[in-house]
Amino acid sequence: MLRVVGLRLALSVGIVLLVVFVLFVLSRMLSGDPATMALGPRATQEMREAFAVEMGLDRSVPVQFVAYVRGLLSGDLGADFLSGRPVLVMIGETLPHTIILAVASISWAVALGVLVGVQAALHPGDWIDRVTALTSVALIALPPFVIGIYILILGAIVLDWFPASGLGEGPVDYLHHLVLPSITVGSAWVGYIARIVRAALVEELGSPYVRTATAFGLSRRRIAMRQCLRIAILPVITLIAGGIGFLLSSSVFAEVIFSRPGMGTMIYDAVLTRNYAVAQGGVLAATIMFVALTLAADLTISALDPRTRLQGFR
Amino acid sequence: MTAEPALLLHDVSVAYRKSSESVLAVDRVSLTLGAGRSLGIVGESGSGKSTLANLVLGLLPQGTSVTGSNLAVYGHTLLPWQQADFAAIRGRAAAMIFQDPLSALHPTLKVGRQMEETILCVRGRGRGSSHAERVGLLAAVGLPDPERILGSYPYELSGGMRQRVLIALALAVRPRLIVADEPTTALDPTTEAQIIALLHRTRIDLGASLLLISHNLGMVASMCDDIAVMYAGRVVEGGPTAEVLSRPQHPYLRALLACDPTLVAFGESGDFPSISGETPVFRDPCPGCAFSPRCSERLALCEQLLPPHVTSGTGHYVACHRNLDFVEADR
Amino acid sequence: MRAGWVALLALFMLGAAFAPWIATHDPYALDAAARLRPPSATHLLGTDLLGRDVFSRMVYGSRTSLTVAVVGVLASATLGVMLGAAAALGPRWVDPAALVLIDGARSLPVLLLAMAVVAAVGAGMVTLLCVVVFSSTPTFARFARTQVMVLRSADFVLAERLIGHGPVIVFLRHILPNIAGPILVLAAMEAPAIVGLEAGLSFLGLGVPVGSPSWGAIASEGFRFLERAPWLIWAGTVPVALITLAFTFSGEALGQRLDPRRKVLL
Repeated sequence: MLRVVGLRLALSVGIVLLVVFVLFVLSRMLSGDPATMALGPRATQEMREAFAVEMGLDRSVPVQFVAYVRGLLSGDLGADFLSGRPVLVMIGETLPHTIILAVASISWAVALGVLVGVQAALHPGDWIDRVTALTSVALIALPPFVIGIYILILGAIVLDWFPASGLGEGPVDYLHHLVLPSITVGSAWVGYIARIVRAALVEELGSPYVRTATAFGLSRRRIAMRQCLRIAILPVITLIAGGIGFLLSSSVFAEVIFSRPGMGTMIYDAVLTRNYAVAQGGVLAATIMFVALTLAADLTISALDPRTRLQGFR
Repeated sequence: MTAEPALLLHDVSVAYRKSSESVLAVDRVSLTLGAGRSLGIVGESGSGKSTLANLVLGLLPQGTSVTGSNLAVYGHTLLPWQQADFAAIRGRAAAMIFQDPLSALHPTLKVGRQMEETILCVRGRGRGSSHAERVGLLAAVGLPDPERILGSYPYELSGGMRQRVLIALALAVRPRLIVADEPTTALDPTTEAQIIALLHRTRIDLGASLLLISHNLGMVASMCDDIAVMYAGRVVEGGPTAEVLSRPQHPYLRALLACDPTLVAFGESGDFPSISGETPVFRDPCPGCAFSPRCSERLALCEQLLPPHVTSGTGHYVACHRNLDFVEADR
Repeated sequence: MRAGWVALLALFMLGAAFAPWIATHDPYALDAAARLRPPSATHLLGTDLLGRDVFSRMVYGSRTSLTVAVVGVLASATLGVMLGAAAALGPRWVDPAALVLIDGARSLPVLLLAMAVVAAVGAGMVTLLCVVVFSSTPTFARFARTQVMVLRSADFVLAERLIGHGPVIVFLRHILPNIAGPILVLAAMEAPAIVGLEAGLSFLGLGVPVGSPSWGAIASEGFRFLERAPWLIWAGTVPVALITLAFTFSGEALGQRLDPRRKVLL
């Protein structure tokens, strides 16, 4: 068990290092003068020279890389050349909103997906099952930005029940502003989750222990929810663990479409304004968070899987 | 006996639907199990005896068709066949003990938790079992160290122990009818003997009726008041156990007794006698006696005409053309 | 019902192929005088901010999307299958190395990296295709690896190895024809993701070069002018939606044809 953890940890660190390296390479590839990229078009000659020295552009590349990594480790991710604010601070402001969006989206998707999946498994072939199958495929296939736009049109324009942009003030208004974006991000998940839960449950319901429970009079629904679900839920966690990347990209689209401050919009705006320092910092932070989450999810799966758990007892 | 019978089947047939064809697993079977008595059903695999066991608690797969003129458990009529009727039976009027105790228990729930959950569901909210009660139940079935077992997972226990747990569960719900489907097939002979004894004792303690499914004639002989022999979905012989086994009439039963390893002496040749041929595939129900292709005593009409059941004064009945007159010979 | 989706897909492909004949105007032609005009007889789907005919841009957009999809799928599939097959058939050390590559690539946040790349080198078709290939290759590689691993212990493969045929020949002549079907189905299922990625990036302005007719780009403009020029948003999103669904359901139909035991969604 420890070996597995160690390997995963090593892999995660490796990925982060790889991304750092890629970002470093990209920063050296900036079309245009790196000083302008980092400092903005209004940088003076002195600033450029200072920057060149600071960045070690006069030194050899490997040394630059080391300096770069050192800088990152000390928390210096550069600054927004427009406002002068450190990137780290900007991340600190926007990251929570993105995380809240992601958590909210997954939460409702899991809740609804499980409910629908259970229902479909208990009554295979009836209309819930067929409608679920159809809509889940459709939602998975459609690109996130299309879903976001349609949700916006439906929720904010046609029905006008929800705001189309912003964060909202005060806790209740915040939630109100959270609804449409989290529906956007979660919708593809509902489909996947419902289908996986349904498939896993149908398989579990064929297990011999279900027969015992049935023989003692437990209703099928009760058996499904209390005994089978604990096993059927595992593939869902695996799914989420593998889909964190997708979650991130959907969030980016949702944030852009609903003008919601977050890591997605921060990076996006930075990219559009050629604000490389911010973009780089944001991508790095997002990658670290993403790798950490995936690692956590993978470890949770290993811990929860009854097979590994049982083996641990032997 | 004025008490209603524990189990009553009259002319019951069960057909599974497999892809596009119908497979007849039980063919016009009639049986009666009196209240407080025990009935053993013997037959080879494929005889339909397991289907019969599952029938009592309604554990047949969806799409199975069950027809007949009567099917009742302690007066609860179960025809026309629908799942809702079984709520009154499962865990209340009847409980079942399965063949493979490992797969019968949830693999990742502790034994205590499963027992607690099951008993709670059967008895209803607020009337569940206490930890002490569960310990008592396990002790009652002869398990040493019940506390440890309650906290164990099924795979950590031996087959015999698991079967005892299941019997304990059956004990907990105090059913009036126990259905045991080959309860010892997965166990070794020593454990088998213990479980049989336990089952017997449990039944007596509860005052319950017992429907025992087995291919082991010896076990049925020792445990059951009555016996019914099934072949290819039909009951070919039956009646009081002692009577039937000492005076077997049907060629199939005679052949079974001759083949039973526990009853046969190892002949000089060292071979075990066996019945030639194979059990028929359900798809081709024979218009006449299903055993006739393998019967050493068959007559010409055996394959064409279904032999009727003939009952003697002792309650011993048989369905065989050769034995239409056995009633007279018996006297 | 499934036949309908396949027909729709074919329609898109025909539309892309015959775009110059179907489109009413030059998709790049600006007309400052006719900006953001609603649909009319001359401009079937109206005009955009620069006066370009939306209908023609939509038709040419199918070319963009399908080109990216086809090239992307071909490249990813080829690379992926080669990698997967190498992992399954090659020397022992290749498999763990390939797995590290595949799982590593799969766990990278592709969109974010794409954004960083675009921030550094600018948007463009080449960048876009690289991103697309990078994001899809691991899927094909993993799938191919599994499929080949199953086949490599098949009797006919063993027989071939006994004769002395090297792994490459065994792969090309015997394994490839057998996995071609499932790979094709996977390709049909990956295509919507690629189209989605291209449209999404173009929507963000990070995909095709500015001015190119891409559904995502049209949608982006449509989003900016959601209330003023609603025809834009539909022109940008409906084709994307339809083509992704068409690919998906066609893929399902193909999968069903190849393996009747496959569980159908509908």
